[in-house]
Amino acid sequence: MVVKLSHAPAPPRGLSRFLHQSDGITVEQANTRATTQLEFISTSLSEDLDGVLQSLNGMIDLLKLGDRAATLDQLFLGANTVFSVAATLGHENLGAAARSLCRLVDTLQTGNLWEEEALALHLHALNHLNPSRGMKSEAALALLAGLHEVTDRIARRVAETAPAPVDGKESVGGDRAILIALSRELHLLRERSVSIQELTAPLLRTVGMTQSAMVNVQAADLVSQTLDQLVLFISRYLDLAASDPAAAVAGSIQGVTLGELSRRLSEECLGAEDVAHTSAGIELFG
Amino acid sequence: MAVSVEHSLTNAAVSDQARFNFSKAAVMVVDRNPICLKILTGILAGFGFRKIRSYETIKEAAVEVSSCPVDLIFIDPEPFKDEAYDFVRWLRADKANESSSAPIIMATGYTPLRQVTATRQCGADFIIAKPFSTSVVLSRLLWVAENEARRGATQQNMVSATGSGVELW
Repeated sequence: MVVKLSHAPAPPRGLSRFLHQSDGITVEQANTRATTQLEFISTSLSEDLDGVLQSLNGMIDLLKLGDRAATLDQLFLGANTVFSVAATLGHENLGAAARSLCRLVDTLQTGNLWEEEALALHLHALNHLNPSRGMKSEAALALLAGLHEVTDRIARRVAETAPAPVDGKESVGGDRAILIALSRELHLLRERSVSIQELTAPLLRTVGMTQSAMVNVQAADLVSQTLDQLVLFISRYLDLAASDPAAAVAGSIQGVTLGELSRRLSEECLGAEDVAHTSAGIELFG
Repeated sequence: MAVSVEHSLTNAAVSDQARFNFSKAAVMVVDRNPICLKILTGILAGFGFRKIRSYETIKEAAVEVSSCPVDLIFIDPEPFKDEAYDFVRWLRADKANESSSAPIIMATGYTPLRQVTATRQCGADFIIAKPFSTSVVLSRLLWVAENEARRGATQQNMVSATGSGVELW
């Protein structure tokens, strides 16, 4: 007699088996309970956040004395923590300032630069925006505008001196720098009067979806994915141009010229990237 | 027309009146930042998760996931860089591991493009940008739960849908 041995089937894993349970809770109930949980620990979280802000404030002196690479790493970690936590506790302006510092550090690391004044400015700004200091909203917004301007200027400088990426694997000064570089590529495409409709349709569709989306923190995902589309678009175009120059004919794409597309990408998407992380529920492009 | 991404994702997964019970689901949270750990575990506890294990290193998580199966994994890849992506690739490839196909959600703060690309390519299911609201976490989580059975097929379709190799989700 042959006995066939078989293992007992492993219990199913995954989340789907916990859906559609009569003894469960609804979406609304779950959100309410989670919000209650956050409120319950909010005091402790605020204390933790204050601790991070204090340590960032203490780094102002390190800007002159410390090892620059290590200092940038440390600044990024602290700023990223503040950015990740502040808005959850209702401190959107603080979060936006921290994001600006993240972008600044990312840009400096990518461009192998050191901008002590810009870094110090951000650290002082974070100190002033500490919720315990109760800065007025108008002053906070003015401060944020100044921070963005400083970071933008440095990012532009890095983008102008760095080679444009075409494979999507490396960032040159962060998302903004990539957009600027790609925008430049699009200008080149326009000058060469190339028709590449089949390549740009998915790109335009994604841009359209981004434009019609409401900004919440997830809009950053959409913008990043738009960037992905752009990178692929450019690289595919370059492949096509190399293999089939005859495909190069003048034309517009779904009524949008490459010049117009370039302008929209450099103006609208750049703006979106800035606001994407700042607050929930702000409409992206009206 | 303005579209709420968050709302449409929620509807695509589970209707507002559908009930779920995560009290027996095992979830692993890997984040080097103790404040973020505190927030995420608080949110998950609110959703009804009771078996929440949190880790501040990938090494600890890798050891644990081999001995105790999980139903969901959250990771912030930023502080771990390639170590986090390697962990996901290793888990996905280790078919003998009961958690090999567990949904993996990357929760990340400042997100350079290179990180989005790396996350998509390593085998994670979703990226959530911090700071997140409770409703965003829940909508993504339910979407992943509802779609986990056809996850592989969905990714294939997504690649070919636009011909671009990238799709929104």
